[in-house]
Amino acid sequence: MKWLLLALLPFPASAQPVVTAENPHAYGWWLGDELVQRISIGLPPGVTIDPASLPKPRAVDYWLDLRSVEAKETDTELRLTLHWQNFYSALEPSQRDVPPQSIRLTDRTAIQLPGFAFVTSPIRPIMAPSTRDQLQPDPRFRLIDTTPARIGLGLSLAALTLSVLALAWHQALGPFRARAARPFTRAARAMARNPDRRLLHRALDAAFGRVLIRADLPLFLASNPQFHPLANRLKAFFAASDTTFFGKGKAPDPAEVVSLARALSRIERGRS
Amino acid sequence: MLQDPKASADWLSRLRDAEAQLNGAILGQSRAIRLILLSVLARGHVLLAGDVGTGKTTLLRAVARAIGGPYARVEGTVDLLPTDLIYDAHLDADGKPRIEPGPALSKGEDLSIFFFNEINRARPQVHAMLLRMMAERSLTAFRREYRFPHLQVFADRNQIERDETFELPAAARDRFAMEIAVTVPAERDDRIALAFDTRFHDTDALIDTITPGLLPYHGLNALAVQIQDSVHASPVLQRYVFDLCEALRDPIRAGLAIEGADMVRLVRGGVSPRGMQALVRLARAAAWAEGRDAVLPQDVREVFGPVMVHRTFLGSAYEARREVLVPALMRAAFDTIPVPAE
Repeated sequence: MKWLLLALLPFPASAQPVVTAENPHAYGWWLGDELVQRISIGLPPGVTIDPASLPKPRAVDYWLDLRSVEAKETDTELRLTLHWQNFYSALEPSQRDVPPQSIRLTDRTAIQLPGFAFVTSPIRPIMAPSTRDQLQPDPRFRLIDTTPARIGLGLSLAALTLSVLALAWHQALGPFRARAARPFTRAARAMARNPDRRLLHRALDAAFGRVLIRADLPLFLASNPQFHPLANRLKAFFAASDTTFFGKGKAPDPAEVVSLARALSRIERGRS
Repeated sequence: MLQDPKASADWLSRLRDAEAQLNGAILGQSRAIRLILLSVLARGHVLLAGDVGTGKTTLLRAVARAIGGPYARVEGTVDLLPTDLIYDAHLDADGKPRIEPGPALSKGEDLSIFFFNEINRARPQVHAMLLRMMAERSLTAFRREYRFPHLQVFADRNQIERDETFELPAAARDRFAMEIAVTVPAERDDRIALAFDTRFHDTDALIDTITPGLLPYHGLNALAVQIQDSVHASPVLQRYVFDLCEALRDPIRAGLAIEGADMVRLVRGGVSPRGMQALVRLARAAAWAEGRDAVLPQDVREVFGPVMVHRTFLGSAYEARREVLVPALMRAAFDTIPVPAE
């Protein structure tokens, strides 16, 4: 059984992939320079890189940052581009060693990315005096013209405001909400000045949605049950109107009509 | 005799009685019955329009029995000639040709009801002869003039067939005070009873249940005069009637709008002065029948449809849909014309 277990264990990579590195040149670097290292790794068929194992951009040492890592994969090859930045402030030319990195493929093969060495030098003589004159003047500043952006902003705000207003108008929101039609309230107000019972007839027509005659009063009360408490007074109103307008009777005292209009108006406004 | 209120109350109770008996004999036609009785009270001629087998003829025969008096009946056919109504040409027992009074004259000048069944089957010449008979209640025959003071013409036409029929000319239609639609009863129970209850199978027996002469025909003219004189129509109501008629003539100015119709082209012709007169007469009769001494808007509304339906002429594009459009137009007028107006 033992040999079987061994056979089931994943095979180690049959052959170590070929790693070719294109390192930055070894001399002539200053403080702040970016060093680009290109590495290509031949991949066995069906194997890719484990992205979690790629080196993270980080401060590798107090004098060395790994700024970014780009990985481009094809079927047969992985191309890595590592951007290093040198922060070593050298007093004299000195060699620095960039350490090798380790990555992993999906078939668990570990691969060493090769390190490299470079020589960095001071930017100016160490003994040169440090005075204020040596400070270079600031470059001439150039103001960015913001007028087009401001105009654009203003126009956009205006368009937004107009759109919101149009939407509010279309949806009858906010200030555009129609005030509730209150025919009885209007009639009661008008009848305070001119107690003409026809005004109340017009208000009843408006509340009914069509012309209301005495014969339709039950229909009106059925569709507007809130006025039911006034059913008898409405009946009396219509009966009186019939004798006034169609019979030979005299117009009765307008006080009752005015008070009826007020009562209807109170119900209409939900006050009683 | 009629001036005293007691006589008026007597007539009113007779009317109620007749209405109850007619409703007992003819199911589900209470509105048509009410309208026919109003036409009797207003002395107006009536055209019944409706489907086949809805009881138009039974209804007319029953009303004729309630009114009493001699009645004549003619069936409209394509080959009917005007002279066929007036003269009856036949060979007598000796084989000699004889000319005798025809259906219109055979009952004498006392004729109270003249039935014209299926009037739209008769030719326009016959309609033309009817014009005079209806408008003037007189005929010239045998070189003399016959007068029919009590005459009321009832006609019916069915609306199903269009072949071999002659649409009544506008002038003839205008002579009819009302066109009453007789439709299938709306209530299910009524229709089941009409089919299963054997009482309704024998029309003659059914009509015999009506008390004859309940509304004696020789008193109706005086009653009609009395009704027209005594029932008050106030200036406000006169204005309402005028506004309604005007709205049907010019719906745009009245602010009417109905769905699916271009109001500019909808109406081609409106009601004639004779039509308005019929409307007022019938409205007064309706008020009297309700026991009132003044016409109310509801009386006008009750008779407005039947009086106006055959007097409203639609544009040719809309004529085919008049069964929908004319009622919609009237409803719009009722809904829009204010009453009491200034």
